[in-house]
Amino acid sequence: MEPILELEEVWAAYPGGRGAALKGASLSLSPQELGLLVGPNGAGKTTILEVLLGFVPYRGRARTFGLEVRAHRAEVRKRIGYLPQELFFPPDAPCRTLDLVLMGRFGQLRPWQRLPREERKRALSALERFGLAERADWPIGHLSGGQQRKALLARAMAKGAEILLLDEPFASLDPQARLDLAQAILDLKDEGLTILAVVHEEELLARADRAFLVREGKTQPLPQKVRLAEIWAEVQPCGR
Amino acid sequence: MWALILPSLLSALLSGATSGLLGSCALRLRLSALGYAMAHAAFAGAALAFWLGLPPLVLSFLFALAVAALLGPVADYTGLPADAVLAILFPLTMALGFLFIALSPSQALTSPALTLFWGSLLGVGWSDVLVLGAVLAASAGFLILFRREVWATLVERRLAEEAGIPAKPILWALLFLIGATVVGSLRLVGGLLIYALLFLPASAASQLTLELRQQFFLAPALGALSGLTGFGLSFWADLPVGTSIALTACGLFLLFSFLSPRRKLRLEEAHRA
Repeated sequence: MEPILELEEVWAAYPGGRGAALKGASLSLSPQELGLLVGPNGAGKTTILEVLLGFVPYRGRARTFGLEVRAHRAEVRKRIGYLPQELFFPPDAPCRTLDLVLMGRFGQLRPWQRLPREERKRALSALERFGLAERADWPIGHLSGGQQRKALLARAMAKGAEILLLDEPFASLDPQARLDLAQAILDLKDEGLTILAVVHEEELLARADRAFLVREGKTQPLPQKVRLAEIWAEVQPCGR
Repeated sequence: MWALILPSLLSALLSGATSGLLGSCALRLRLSALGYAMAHAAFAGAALAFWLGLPPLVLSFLFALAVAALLGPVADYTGLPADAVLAILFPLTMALGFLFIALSPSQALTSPALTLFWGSLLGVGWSDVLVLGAVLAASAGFLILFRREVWATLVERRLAEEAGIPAKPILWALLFLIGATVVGSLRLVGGLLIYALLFLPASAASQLTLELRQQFFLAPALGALSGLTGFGLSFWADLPVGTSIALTACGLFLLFSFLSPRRKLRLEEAHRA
């Protein structure tokens, strides 16, 4: 099957950053697969997601849906849902839950175009799916961390995303919220979404189709049925 | 007499309204340090124009925008965080402003030179009113037409970009309008105090409501109120107009902070905890 998401010898550096964050990273994911990126902090995991979204300039080939990201940023972003790392809205964030979900579609509307009613219905049903319909009018910052993550998943659903990029989705969540969120992510995989997630936890590992160790800007495919403890045992002696 | 003070009165109204409107964006984007540096860069540009005997509008605008444009490249080149770069640019532009005024010794302490520091009722002309009117119209038009895009950029820039919204051009357009507001207000309020008008009405509005849409109405109203009240104070009590406007804006902020439902909520939460 043709990969839906592919990096080939990708080098990337942040403007003004000290050196390259990616040094020839390669990976690919077929449609409906769950891929995981594991590795120490600062290894380049987030950069891989940001390259796929066209946030970071790169050399090499980065393709999603068969399109080179650097040449088709707008088109690619329309079809990707993204959970940024450590994004928690403060209580005074000027945004309601429903508005956050609707925001995912704003880029596809002309400035003078009114928001179609179907969009609102679609957003509400996405929130309902994650048990947040009753909190649609709540300020997003008044939701718990796990609920905020689910609202971002609902946003990706309402947007019609075909690929989900999740950057440490379980960070700062309690064990129960982690389990709930993992189940929500796996349900989305079962419905046919392709998911690439940066994780430090075991929750998704058992169901992953592929896993990659990211270290010093390079990627290395990991064997299936690997446990994170084994990966860390391999990584730690190299020391970072 | 009205013919003499009418441009100042209208400038106070327009400057307050525009500053309030754009100040809400700047506050949300946490650009207070940038606004501060831009205001003082505009002061330096006007001082240079004063020294060279040129009209101040263009040079102060270029200086203000140059600060915004330099921020990213200088931060990248030096590897310093943006606020550290602004901490360098701020004294640099202030020092340049003082230097340019000092270099024109025959005029250094004349009324037009001092106007650049703390503004003047009589230093304002119809050209300033026109600039401020145009900036207010452009700002309001921009915020109405691109309301969704601006809102998304203000809420979370990465999510806005992921949604396909051109967050960077939106940010640049806002900076351009802020620069134009600073420049248009310079002669009335002065380079040292324009910052107050840009942030205090927006801060006062943010004390009353979390809704950005409501802040976009409330902040310009409070800015216009600060401008007009400050103007009145200056006129009747013979005080410097920039000082009067800044003090009025401070007073409104303190009043609304005291009345703030957000503050009461925080106190209740602390009490419960």
